[in-house]
Amino acid sequence: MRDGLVWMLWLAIAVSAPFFAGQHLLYNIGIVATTAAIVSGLTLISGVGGLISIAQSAFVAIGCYCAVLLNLHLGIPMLIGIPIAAAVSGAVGWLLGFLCLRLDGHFLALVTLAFSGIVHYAIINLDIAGGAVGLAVPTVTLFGFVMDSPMAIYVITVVASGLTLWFIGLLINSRYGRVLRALRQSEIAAVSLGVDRRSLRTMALATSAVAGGFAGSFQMLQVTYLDPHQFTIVSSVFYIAIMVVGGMRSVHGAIIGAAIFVFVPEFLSGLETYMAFILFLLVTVFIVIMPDGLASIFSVPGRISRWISSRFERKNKNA
Amino acid sequence: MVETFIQLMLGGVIAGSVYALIAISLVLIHNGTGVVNFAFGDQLMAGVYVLVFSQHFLGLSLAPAVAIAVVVSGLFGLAIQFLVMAPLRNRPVLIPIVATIAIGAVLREGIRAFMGPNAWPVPFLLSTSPYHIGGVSIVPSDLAILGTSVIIMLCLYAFFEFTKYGQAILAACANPTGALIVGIPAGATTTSIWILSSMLAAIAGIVIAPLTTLTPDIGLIAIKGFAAAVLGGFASLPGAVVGGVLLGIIEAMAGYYISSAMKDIASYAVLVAVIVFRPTGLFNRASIRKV
Repeated sequence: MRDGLVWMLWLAIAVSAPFFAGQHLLYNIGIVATTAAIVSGLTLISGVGGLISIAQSAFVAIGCYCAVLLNLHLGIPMLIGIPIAAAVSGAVGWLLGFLCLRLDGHFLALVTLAFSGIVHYAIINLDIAGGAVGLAVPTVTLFGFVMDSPMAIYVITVVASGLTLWFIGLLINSRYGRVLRALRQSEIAAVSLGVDRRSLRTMALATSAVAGGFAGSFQMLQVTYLDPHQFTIVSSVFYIAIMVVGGMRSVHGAIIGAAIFVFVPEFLSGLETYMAFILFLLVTVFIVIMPDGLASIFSVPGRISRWISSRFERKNKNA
Repeated sequence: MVETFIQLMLGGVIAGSVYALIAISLVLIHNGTGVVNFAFGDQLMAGVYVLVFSQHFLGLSLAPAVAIAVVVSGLFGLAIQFLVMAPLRNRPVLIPIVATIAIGAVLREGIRAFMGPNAWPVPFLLSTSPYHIGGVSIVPSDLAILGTSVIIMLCLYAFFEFTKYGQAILAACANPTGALIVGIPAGATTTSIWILSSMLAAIAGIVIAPLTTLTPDIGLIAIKGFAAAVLGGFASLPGAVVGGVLLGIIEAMAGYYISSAMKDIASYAVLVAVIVFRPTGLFNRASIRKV
């Protein structure tokens, strides 16, 4: 029920934004949506699965570059190329998981760290991908119309990220999500009940890669230029920070975290060069005092009502 | 031909000795506290910046500046333990690891904000004019890097083998529960591991910085330490040393014989290849929890 209410809140904001928001705010809300969808992949693998992936920006990069290159060299329209690119990104994620998830969790952190570095270097050194200069993003056409107005881009990207978030949210609450969570909470217990941890975790990593590639490609439509320096290890770390600050147990956390990382820098922009420093200082303090993330405030009403009802039951028992 | 090979070997071993120092610290923290320290590279970077700061703004000469850098870095390690790691010690290990990522970002962005994004000159430890011995040129400042690293490693060896504290730390790394049972205080060992590895970060940084350019992003060099540690099995300190030297050599060879772009990718490739094909490291048969 509470979950549904929060979804309604996001939906209301997304639908009403074009009516109240100016162009700049609308752009930022769109960025929040796509960033949240990228981070929701991390929520699945890290928050629910308990494994650290430092490769999310690499998956985003694979998605973006695939979609653009398919368009430039094979003439495949962007809206068809993006799902293909997301699938490619997912396949790479699956392969990465297949190769290294035989091992204990934190090896994934190291492999994905190295993978991020490799993808970044590969992009810079590949001439077909524009090298260090980058590529301009082609425009999207839908039923023969060129979708390049801010409003059209907002609608396309928000719908795409909404679908991604909704899908990941369903997945987290599905049977697979519960098994993945059980695996995090007690690996031994879960395995003794017959859970195939390797294939499950590999699928989770692949799904997170699909989400990254898909939502990332739509973010590229908003940014309109592919600069290889958007896809470094540092940007992967940013996605992890967004997940942790928002709360890593649900997709709502990804949305809250993304909103904070988009809008707080706007408020802090007066700090200029000190902005990133203050931001990460806040993040660190935040992790220490509130390790469950901001989304845990949604559970406060539930906790209060449980507390009241437990008091009530005790009184009844006494009587 | 042979001269080139020897020259490359020498360069590889020199860089590798520093990677070994980094790997030792990472393995220490990982085995002693269970945390993979992603802030290490940035601690290393901050250590060098403290050195540069004390030289340029406080006007100190090299030796006291180095001392200040090492002490400040050690105190920072103490702060990490007390302000971040201790409050989070009962949380799932994911949270402290993410916290180290955040701490690293704070250091990097803080230094970028206060010292600027541009490169700073770092003093060489000895002269840079090379001697030529039969076609191989040997630079004193490079030898200083090797010498310092070897001396530090010998000191560490002595500390771990011959002192009670060193033995206690090794015991806590090998078997935390067992160490608790025989009366080794867990809090004290974790704290000393954080201080020790942070001091090593500053030393490794000061030693390697003249070879590269000092910018806030120099911390990415820690990835080479991770690769070295993984090469050595992420378990033993001698393994970390061998892994570091080996990685240095691989990197130098790949950079010369394949292409210069490979020099940067080599450590990433080694990291992935070892984890995929030989996750126990090159030397260990010891158990890694396989799934």
